[in-house]
Amino acid sequence: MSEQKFERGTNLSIFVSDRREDIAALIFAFAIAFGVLLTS
Amino acid sequence: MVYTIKSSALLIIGIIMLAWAGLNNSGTIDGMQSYLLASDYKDHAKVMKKYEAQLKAATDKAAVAGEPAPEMKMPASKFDQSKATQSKMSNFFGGAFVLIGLFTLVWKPKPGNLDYFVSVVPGIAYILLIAFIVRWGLDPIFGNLGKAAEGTLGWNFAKIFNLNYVVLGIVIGIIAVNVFRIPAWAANGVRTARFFLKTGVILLGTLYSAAELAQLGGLSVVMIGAFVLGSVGMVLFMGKRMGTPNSMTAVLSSGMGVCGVSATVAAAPVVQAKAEEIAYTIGTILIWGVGCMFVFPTIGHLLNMGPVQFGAWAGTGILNSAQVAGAALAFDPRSIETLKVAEIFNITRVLFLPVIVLWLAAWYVKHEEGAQKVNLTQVLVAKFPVFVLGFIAMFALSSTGVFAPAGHYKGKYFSSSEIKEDKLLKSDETSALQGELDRLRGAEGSQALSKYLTENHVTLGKRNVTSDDVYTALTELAANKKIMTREEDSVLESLAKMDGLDETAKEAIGTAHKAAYHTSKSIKEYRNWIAWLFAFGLIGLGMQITGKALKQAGGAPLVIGGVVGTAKAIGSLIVVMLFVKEFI
Amino acid sequence: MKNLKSILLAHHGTAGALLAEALALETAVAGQTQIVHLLVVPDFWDGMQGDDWLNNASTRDAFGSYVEGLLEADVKQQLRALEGRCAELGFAYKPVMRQGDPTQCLLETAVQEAVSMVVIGPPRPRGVPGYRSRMDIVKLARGLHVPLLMAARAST
Repeated sequence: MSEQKFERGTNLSIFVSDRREDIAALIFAFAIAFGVLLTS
Repeated sequence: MVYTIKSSALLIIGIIMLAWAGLNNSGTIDGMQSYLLASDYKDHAKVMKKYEAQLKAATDKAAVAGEPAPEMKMPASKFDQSKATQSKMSNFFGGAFVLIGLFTLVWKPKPGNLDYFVSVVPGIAYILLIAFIVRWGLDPIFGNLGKAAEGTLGWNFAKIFNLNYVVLGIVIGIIAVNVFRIPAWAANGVRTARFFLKTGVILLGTLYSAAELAQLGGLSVVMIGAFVLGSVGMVLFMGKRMGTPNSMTAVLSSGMGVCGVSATVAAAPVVQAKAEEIAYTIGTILIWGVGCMFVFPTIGHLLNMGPVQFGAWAGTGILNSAQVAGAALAFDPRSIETLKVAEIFNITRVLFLPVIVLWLAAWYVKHEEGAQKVNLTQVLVAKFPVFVLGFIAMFALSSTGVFAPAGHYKGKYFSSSEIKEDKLLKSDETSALQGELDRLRGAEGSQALSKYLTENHVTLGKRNVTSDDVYTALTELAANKKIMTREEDSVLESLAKMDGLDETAKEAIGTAHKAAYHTSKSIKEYRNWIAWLFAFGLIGLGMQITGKALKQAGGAPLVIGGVVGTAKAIGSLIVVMLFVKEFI
Repeated sequence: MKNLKSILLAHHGTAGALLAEALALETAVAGQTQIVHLLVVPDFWDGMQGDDWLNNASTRDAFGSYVEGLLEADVKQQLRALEGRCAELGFAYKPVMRQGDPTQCLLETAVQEAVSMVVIGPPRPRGVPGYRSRMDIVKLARGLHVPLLMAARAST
C-alpha cells in the first residue's frame, strides 16, 4: 500500500476524496471573497 | 508513481500569454483590439476627443497668459481598462506558467505532493488558454460577425444561437476531447474542472439577498418537486407500457427526473441496471443535455424571457446539471442574474437526489425479488454534497453584510450622497423640472396627474402614490439637483412615463436616476470571478463528454427519454410563462 | 487450409459473433489450429460518467466498480462458453482481453499474436439494438497483413 500512496484522485477529480475537494473549494471561495473585499 | 510529465507545453502556453500581455501593453495590437473590443473602443474615441479639446483649451489659455503648455494625462477609457485587465491576467498566469514550466523541465520529480500538484498545472494552463481565446477572441469575433451579418440576413445569428464565450467554450471542450484527444500532459489538470465549478457555486452565495434566496428556494422546491415526480411517474408508466425491465425503468426515471448523469450514476448500482441499460441511458441524457444547452437559450430569447423565468425553466427542464449552468450563462453571459436563479434550481435538484435514490431502491425492492435493501442514513450521508453547505455558509456570511451592503446585491445600488459634482443636474434641466412642477400644480395639470396616478395604480410599497408625493419629489429634485431618496426615485420614474411631459424634464429625471445608481465594485468583481470559474469549469466538463458515449443513445431509453424530456421541457416552459413573474 | 496455425476470432456474444464463431470452428483444423479469442471492452465506457460533477467520490466509486463487475462477469461468461466449445472440438484456445477501440484492438492483437487469419462476424444490420461501437471494416482491411474472413449474414 505504501507504494501506492500517491496513486490518487479519480477519473474526474484531483483530490483524494470529495470531502477534500469540497473543503478545498470552500477555502478557495472564501479566499476569493475576502481577497475581493480587501482589494476593492 | 511520478505524475509530472516532462513537456514544454506549459512553458509555451506561458510564453503565449506573456506575449499577449506584452502586445497589449505596447499597443502593437490596438488595431485588432479596437475590432475585438468594439464598444469599449467607442468610449475610447469619446474620451480621447474630450481630452484633446480640454488640452487644446488649456494650451490656448496658457499661451495667452504666456505660460508653457500644461502637461495633462489622458484619462483611462474603457478600452484602456479592458486591455489592462487582459494584460494583467495574461501576465500573472503567463508568468506563473513560464516559471513552473521551466521548473518542470529541469526538475527531477520524486513521488510526493509537490510532484502531484505540479502535474496539475499544465492542464489548468490548457483550459485557461482556451478560456482566454474564447472570451477575448472568439466571443467578440462571433459577436461582430453576427452584427455584420444582420444587414444581409435580417437577424443576428450570433445572438440567436448564443455564440458567446460559454457556449463556445463548452463546444471547444467537446471538440478538444473528441477530435484532438486531451494531450497526456494536460490530462491530470483537466480534472480540476469540478473543483473550480464548486468554487464558483460557493462563491455565488455572496450574491443573494435573504428575500431573494427564500423566494427562489420556494419556487425551485415547488417546481422541481412537481416535475421530478411528474417525470419519474411518466417514465414508470411508459416503461410498464413498453414492457422494459424494471432496472431499466428505474435507472431511466432517475436520470430523466432529477439530474441526468449524476442521478444515473447514483441509481444504477442500487437498482442493478444492466450494462447496456446504463450505456443507453447515459448516452441519451448526454445528447439531450447538449442539445438543450443550445435550444433553450435561443427559445428564451425568442420568447423574451427574463432571468428568473429562464433560470427557472432551464433549471427544471434541462436534465443535466452542468448543462443547466451552461444554458443559464449562455442566455445571459454578462450579468450573473440568470445563473443565480438556475443554480438554486440545481442545488434543489441535488438535494432531491438522495430522496429519489431511496425511493427507487424501495420501489425496486418491491418489484424485484432478491434485491438488496439499502440503509437510509447511509445513503443520505454518502450522497450529501458538502459543497452545498459551503454555498449556504457563504450566503449566511454575506447576509451579515460583510461582502457588500444589503442593497448592493443587484450589482447597482442607490446612493444620493455618492453622486459626484459633475453628475448633478444642469440649470436648464432644473428649470425644465420647475416648469413642469408649475404646470402639474395648475388646474389642468393636477387633474391629468391624479388621473394618471390612479389609472396606472402607481404605488410605493403598499400605499398609493398621491399628487403631493410627486410635487415633493420634483421640488426636491429641482432644489438639490439630484435625487435624494429611493422613494422619490421610484415616484419620479413612474412620472417620467406619463404622456405629455416635457422632453427635457423627462431626460433630466433619467439622468438624475442614472447618477444616483452606482455600480457596486465588489459585486462586479464577484460576478467576474464567478463567470471565469464557471467558464473554466464548463470547458473542462465539456472535455468529459465523449462522442463515443453520446453515440450510445438508443433503444427504449431514447424513445422514453425523448418523450419525457420533451414533455418536461414544454411543461415547465408553460408553467414558467404562466406563473413565474419577474418578481425579484 | 494447410498450416492454419491460429485464427483470431473477434467475439462478444452477439448474433454476428456467433456466425463468426461457427465459421472459425469450421475453418480450423483440429489438433493444429489455435483459436485466439479477442474480447474487447469498448472504450466508450471511459466516457460513461459523462460530466457528472455532483456525486461524491463514494457514489462514483460504487458506480465504477458496479460497471466493472458487470463487464467482467460478461467477459468471463463469454470466455468460458467459447473455451468449452473449443475443448469439445479439440482446438487450442487462447483468450485475449483488451480495452479500447475495437478495430484498433483487433489490428494490434493480430500483430501481437502473429495469427494466420482473422475471422469476424458480419456488421450488425441497421435497427438491431446493440452498442454503437462497430468494427471499422475499411480500416481493418487496410491495416491487416493476414487474410480476413467475414461470416455471411444469416439468411432470414
